Amino acid sequence: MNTISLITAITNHFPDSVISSHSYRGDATIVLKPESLIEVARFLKKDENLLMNLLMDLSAVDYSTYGKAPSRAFFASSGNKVRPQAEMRDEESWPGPVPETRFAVVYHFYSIQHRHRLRVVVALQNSDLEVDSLTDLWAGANWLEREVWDMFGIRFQGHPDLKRILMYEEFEGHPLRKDYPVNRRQPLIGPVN
Amino acid sequence: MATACSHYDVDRFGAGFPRFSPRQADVLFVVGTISHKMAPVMKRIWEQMAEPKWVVAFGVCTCTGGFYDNYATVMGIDTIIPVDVYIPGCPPRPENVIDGLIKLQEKIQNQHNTGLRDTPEPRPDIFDV
Repeated sequence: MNTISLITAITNHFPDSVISSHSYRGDATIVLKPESLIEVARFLKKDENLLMNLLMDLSAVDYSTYGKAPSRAFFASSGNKVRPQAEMRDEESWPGPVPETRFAVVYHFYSIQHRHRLRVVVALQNSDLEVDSLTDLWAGANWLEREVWDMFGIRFQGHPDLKRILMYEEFEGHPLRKDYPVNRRQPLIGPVN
Repeated sequence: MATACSHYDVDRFGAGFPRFSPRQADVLFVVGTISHKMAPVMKRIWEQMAEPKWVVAFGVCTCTGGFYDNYATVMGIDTIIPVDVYIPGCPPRPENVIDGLIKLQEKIQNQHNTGLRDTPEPRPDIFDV
């Protein structure tokens, strides 16, 4: 299926779940409501015309500083004398972030049989950083969801063993959140530097 | 890798025999970035080595942390264990590695007969930014 028919197939099947969709540079993307994720994901995997049997990637985005140029103080606190470069203008601009939500979980699906791809973005409510786990459908989601929990602090409902995977248990906070101080260090042994 | 292979042949300097237990080793080559999660493990390996023992910091990440000035990385293993020879480079040239190895051999030659070493230089306190 091409990107347009991929998007229409899903939008027609779940008209209430899809918030928006776009096709940027040939990559189909749909933005979903968090509560309908597991239902749509099951359809993506089982449907004969879709058969998204490979979960290529699962990640998250913190949009809290998206589109805002970092202040000079931000770079000064790192101890490095770095000035942000002027942004390179894009001919075809990225459709932009999900409005008014801070975090979004991003899934990349691929169908080995049909050789098509789909990006699914789940915009999380700021009050409730929780989304359904996909470990029952794709076993490979297990460690990816643990990574997202570790780095962003987004919980996955129904995950069998949601604990840190990259950082150590003693680590406080979630380092890829934009409000994690860039110069905060939490060494297990040795000096803080 | 290249240093150990035939073009450079580290065996010529009597150093081509890696031991896979720290208890049998004389020198610890720390190769690659050390994260805060890994630091206690590395210190334990160093503690398991029998005296006399030496440490070589191999590569700029091990020496100083390199460009990984972030939440995960140890800024130089000498904040945790004493280091005898630093081999900079990313990655170091095989010539640098051999040079470092010869410097270590010289250092060992010039050490006191008792096996005691000079007190290492204190680490400069440059991180109070």
